[in-house]
Amino acid sequence: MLLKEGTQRISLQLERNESVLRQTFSHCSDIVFRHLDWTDGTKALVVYADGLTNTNELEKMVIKPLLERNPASDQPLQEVLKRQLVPVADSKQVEWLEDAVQSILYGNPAVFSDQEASALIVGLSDFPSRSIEEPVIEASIRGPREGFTEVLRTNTSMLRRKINSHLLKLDSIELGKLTRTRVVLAYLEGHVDADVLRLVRERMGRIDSKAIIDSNFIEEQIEDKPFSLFPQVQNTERPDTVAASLLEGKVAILVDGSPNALIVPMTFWSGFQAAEDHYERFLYVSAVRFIRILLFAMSLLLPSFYVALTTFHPQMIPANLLISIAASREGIPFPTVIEMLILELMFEGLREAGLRMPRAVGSAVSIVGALVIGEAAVQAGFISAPIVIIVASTGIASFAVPRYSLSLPFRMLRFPLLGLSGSLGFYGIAIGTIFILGHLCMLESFGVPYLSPASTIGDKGMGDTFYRKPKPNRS
Amino acid sequence: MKKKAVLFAIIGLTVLLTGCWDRTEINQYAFWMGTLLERLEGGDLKVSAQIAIPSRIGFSGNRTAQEQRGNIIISAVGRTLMDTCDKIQSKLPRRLFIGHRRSVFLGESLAKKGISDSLDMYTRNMDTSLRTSVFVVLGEHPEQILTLNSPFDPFSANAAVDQDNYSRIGDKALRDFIVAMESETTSPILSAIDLQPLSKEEQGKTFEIERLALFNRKSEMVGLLDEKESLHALWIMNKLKRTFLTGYISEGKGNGGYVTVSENNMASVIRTSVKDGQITVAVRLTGKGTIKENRTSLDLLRPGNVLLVQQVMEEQTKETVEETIREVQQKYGTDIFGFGEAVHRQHPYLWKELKKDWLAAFPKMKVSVEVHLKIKRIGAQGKRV
Repeated sequence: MLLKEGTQRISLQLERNESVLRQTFSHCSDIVFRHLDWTDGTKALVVYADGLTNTNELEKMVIKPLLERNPASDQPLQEVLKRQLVPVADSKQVEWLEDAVQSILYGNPAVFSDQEASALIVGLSDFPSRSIEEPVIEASIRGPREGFTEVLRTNTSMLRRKINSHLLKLDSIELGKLTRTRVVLAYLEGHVDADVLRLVRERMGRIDSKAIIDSNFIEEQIEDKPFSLFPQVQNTERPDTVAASLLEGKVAILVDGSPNALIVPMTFWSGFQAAEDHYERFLYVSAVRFIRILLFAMSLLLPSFYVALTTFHPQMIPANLLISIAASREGIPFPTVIEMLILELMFEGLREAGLRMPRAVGSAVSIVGALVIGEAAVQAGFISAPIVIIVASTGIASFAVPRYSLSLPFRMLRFPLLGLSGSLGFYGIAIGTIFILGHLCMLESFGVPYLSPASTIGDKGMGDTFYRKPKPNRS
Repeated sequence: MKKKAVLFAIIGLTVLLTGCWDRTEINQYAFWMGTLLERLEGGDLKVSAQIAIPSRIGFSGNRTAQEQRGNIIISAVGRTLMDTCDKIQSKLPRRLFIGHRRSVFLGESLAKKGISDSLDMYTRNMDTSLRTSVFVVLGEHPEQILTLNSPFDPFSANAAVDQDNYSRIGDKALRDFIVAMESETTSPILSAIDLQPLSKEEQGKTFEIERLALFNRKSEMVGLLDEKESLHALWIMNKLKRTFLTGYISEGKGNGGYVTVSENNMASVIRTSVKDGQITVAVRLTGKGTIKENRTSLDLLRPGNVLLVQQVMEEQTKETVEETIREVQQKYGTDIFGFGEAVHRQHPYLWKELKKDWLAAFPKMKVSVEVHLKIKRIGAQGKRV
């Protein structure tokens, strides 16, 4: 008799419950069944998942007091247990076997007895997890140094510590028919954009997949345009970023097992906002923002600009520079576009290889890359030196975008733009950028225009886009 | 979806397969850096092009051998400029690229025969920048300007432009020539290049730009102003902003000697009046000065002495400027100063009558010069050591 959803009540007969559970957990070597017998014939069964439960506590708080019960006092087992369990925070009674099973799988032991047709769930879930560490991708010089971990509770606790208010709501949802992943919808009541919240709830409700392993499993299912290159959901591993976003009226989605929280809606400009921008003084930050935007434009356009300039519009290059470039191109076998494509691909390859390389081998990759591409290729006359300079500067520029997910579309768009500039010159670049701009203008993230507040007239809130406005001064 | 894919395929294939790319690689160009126009005996044009050899210049900066020129001179003879350009192209394995040419040199013999017909090609076609500098190369062998190997720039054509900027007579471009010719009375001027160096060491390496070539309204070169006259002319034309003036002081208690004053903020105002057909022009020249060198024994800490220097400088400058104007008026009869434009602006109704025989009226004009040189600073000491 297998378990079906919401159909099986817990019966008074302990043997019957046990047989159902044993069938349910067949071939599950980590599920432990412990029988407790008393002299008066009372029987109890404790079921828990080994490794997910704090067995020491279980022993101390549940099993030992139960065994010490005086059968003569005729106290019902359940009563003893409830009294004993006051110190254990999260315990409850369930009547459906299915609920019991789920609790056991989450790591909370279930206690069955032959005196009552229900099971007691003891909140003793405990499993090994990573400690809170400094965020790796979004490191900062000033400001908090904690990053999300894989444990949902730890993550929500970090969030609650940032906003100690009852207005911070953490709605819990279970997603994934098989994985039963716990997902928390965090928002700040009274601040949150009601339309966004409604949309998030609606789209999350429509998720019908078997497995949610990481936050991206949700991101891809709720974003507005899955085929757009631009991310419409922001992800972060910093609790302070999430807290700040919540204060701005956004909604955050935390997924158990993922150290990356999702924030919606995302706007284009959030790609230029590093967490540190709010911990450093505003003048410096505004200047850096400007540099970032410049570098970001470079990361998209520099290679195609170079190709268009040298192969279509040499009039626009100053004479001395032009002759220098011409001298370095003397005897190079490939057209400039092809040269640029080869080197860009090599650079992307280097980056990809370096990303997943074991740390010990990582330096070898960079040495080989720098030597082979930078030195040898130029000296052998395969590649001209300015191309190496351009590709290197483009690479550096693309690392200056604080949000990794927003630097990806520009890395990819570089190639079509290169093709356009190589075939049509500046005209091609113009066509390409117009298409990109048009797409960005049309894009929405949860009903919010992607380019807002820059694209919407009279919209306030420009204070955190091209620059950061100062916090009010009280002196 | 399928429609979109087909559309993208068509666009992609038209770009990739047709091969109608306008692309020209940078090393498929021959960069034309400077032009020399000469007139041959029979009236034919000889065009010489200074073409860059990038590999000899090198991006690393070390030119292989200092003596080796970074350019090659290609010449052709023809009836029109375009005709000769075509001939030059047929001598080159790369496509001629004219967008970066910064100077056009004119041989003296060509300049004397008139240059309007030669400049037509440059003003008619868009590929010549109006900022292109135009020079007259003096002497029998103007071709030496192209083969000249300046140690500062691989191209003498560029060196000439830079030198024109730093030389005292300032930079003169094709545009200025056109502007002068477009007015009804003004005669154009151009910088003149002297190839005669003072020492052997400079032979084939440097040249001098300090004189102005005067053109008449038919764009024929009629004469040359010397160094001092050129500066005066430019001052009157309000194109000179700073220069050095040297005067001889003989009066006063001290012994006589020369004094050099550095002038800046220089300006000129031209006032004209017309009475009974007689045109009078009053030129007011101003400047602020610093005494840079004092070869007299005057103690400049005494304000009286500074005033003395100022007065003497003003008087002497006035005389020489008047002389310059008289020479231009009498000898060449070309209104390079723009006096005609000034009369036009200040007496627009009379001008209609006056302009009819301006050429005859110009030498007869009465010109008075007034010089105001305010000496502001005397330098770090009063009396010389």
